[in-house]
Amino acid sequence: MRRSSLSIRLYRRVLILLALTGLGMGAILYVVANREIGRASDAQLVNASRLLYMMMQDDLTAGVLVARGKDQTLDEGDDPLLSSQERKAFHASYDWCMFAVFWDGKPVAQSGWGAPVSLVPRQPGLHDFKAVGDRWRSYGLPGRDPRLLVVVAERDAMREFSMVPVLRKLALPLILLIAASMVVLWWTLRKSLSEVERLATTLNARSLADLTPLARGDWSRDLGPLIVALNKLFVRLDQAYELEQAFTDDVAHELRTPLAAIRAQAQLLRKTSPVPQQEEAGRLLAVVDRAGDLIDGMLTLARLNATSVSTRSVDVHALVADVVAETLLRLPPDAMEFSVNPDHIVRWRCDPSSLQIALSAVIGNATVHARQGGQVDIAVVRSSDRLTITVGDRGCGVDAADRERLLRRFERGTANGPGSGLGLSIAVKAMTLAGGTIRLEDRQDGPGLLVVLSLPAVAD
Amino acid sequence: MPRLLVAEDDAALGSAMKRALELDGYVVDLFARGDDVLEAASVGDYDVILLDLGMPRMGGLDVLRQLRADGNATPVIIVTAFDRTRQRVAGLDAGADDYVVKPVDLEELAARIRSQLRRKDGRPADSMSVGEVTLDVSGHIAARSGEPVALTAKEFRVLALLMRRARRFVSKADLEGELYDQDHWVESNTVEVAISALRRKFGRDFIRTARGLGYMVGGPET
Repeated sequence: MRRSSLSIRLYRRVLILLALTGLGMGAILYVVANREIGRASDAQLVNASRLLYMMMQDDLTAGVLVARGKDQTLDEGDDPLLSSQERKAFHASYDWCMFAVFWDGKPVAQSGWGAPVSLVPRQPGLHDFKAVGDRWRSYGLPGRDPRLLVVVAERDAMREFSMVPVLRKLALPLILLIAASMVVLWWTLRKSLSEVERLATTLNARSLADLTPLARGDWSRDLGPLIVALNKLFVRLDQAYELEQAFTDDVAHELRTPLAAIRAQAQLLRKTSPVPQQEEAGRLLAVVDRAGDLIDGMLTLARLNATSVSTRSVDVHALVADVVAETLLRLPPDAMEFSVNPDHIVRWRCDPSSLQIALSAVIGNATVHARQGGQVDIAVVRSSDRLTITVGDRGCGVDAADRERLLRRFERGTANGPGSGLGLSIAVKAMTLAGGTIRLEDRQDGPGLLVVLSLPAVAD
Repeated sequence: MPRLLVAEDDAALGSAMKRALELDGYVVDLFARGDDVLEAASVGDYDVILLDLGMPRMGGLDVLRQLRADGNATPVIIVTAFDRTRQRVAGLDAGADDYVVKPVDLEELAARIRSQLRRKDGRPADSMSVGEVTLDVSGHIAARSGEPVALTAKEFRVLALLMRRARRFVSKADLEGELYDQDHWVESNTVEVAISALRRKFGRDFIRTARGLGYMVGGPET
């Protein structure tokens, strides 16, 4: 299963953390703000009670109060403690506050609205109480005469701090701020992780054989363990390559020596035997040579794994000429004719050794499978972005359905046909190494197979 | 009768090589161990040594280096299964005169031995041979199987260039250039005329051609 992107996971976690921090901060702020508002409201209650007490000072005589306290009937209209102006002045300042004045525990004056006087606490100091479905807060201020108590109260709802209007005002700037921080956060994350991308690019640009360790100094300290691990892997791969090379050398030696012995014996037999045995020895020689070709092909394939590619400007025409010369010298005279077009230098930036191996394999394949056609036509075509080399024979061609299969290892055109079945797979591997492609087509100008080798342009 | 030393630790291959070379008229001593090879080569007077690299007791390269260090100049042909370029280079640098990869064709091996013998016999330095054809550049003498062949000046120059670059294609332009040098001008078909004359004299298959590449002489390297 593919793990989700590291940066997305990190991004998500940082966002969640930020959101939790924001919510926590909000909650703390809310609690602190409420407590402060409660304290300020309490101070206001105290102030309101003092104001009321001061207003009543003129009219305060114990006698009146006693008299009012005794007859128990309270009529707002002729309340001697507070004139209507004084009431108005109080309500102008504290219109949300109700009040009640007690003498010796009995109500002598009240605001006329709010909680029923009977429910108002008749003790000095701050108190909470419930009335008419609300929670209230009251403050009782004792007068100079301890029998007097001025109580001012307000609904708790008035004291509570509501986040809603705050949030409504802050909504737009908050959304913008959140969006901006998300963008900045993402950008920062990507920027920090770009080091990983740079590492990937560096590794991608390497050739197969380039196992030089990465310099620690070129990378940030965070990537240190990764760089160390990669370098260790490079060392191990290098050792594995060395081992593989030594192994193929051993295989080459161990296989070729007995083959050489068989070949020498067969040749000796052909030289010294009567005519019928000479033919048998000749057939034996052919089989030995095929085994030799197979070993050569396998070694070429094995060694292509460890080939290093070095690109430079190459005269492809001269390279083709050398491959054709080598091929021609292995063939009996007049076995096949070769033509190359054009007849002059064609320069292209590529890796000459892998291209030579590919060409050699393709042309060799044509001499094995299309010998009867007697002709191989090679064309080198250079365009601005691509070099194409076509090798066309006059054999019986390849069915479209078999073409993919033929490019694989040990696949032959016919089950018991000649050849090792390695030629075209060597060409595929060598072309891949050279950064190019290979495909099989029908010849347009008559029967035969056309092998198209294509190399893209590479920068200097 | 030329004497050959064959160093080969594979008994079957060694005996086959020995018999084949004896049939060609050589006197052959076969050794399978490196130290034996060094001892025999140091005391015996061999004309050519065929040296395997992977021998017990002492590797072929060590034997070769020791021989050369001792001032022994006997031509050495390395016959080995190791075919990497760096292995060839190491062999030739150690003092080998030729390098052949197994499985080797006995006919080709015989031709290479003949080549080393000719060189040893003090053949002129500017003499070349390809297959049965030899060319003595300073003496202006061409021969096929030892029989002198008469050539015109142009034919000789064309043949000399082809043989100098044996086993590789020589373009028609290069051949024309070789003739211009002498005559200052050539007719358009001069090269073709010279080639067909050379084919008549040395055999049609002696000179190979490919359209777009030019001409080439080849065969076993000699």
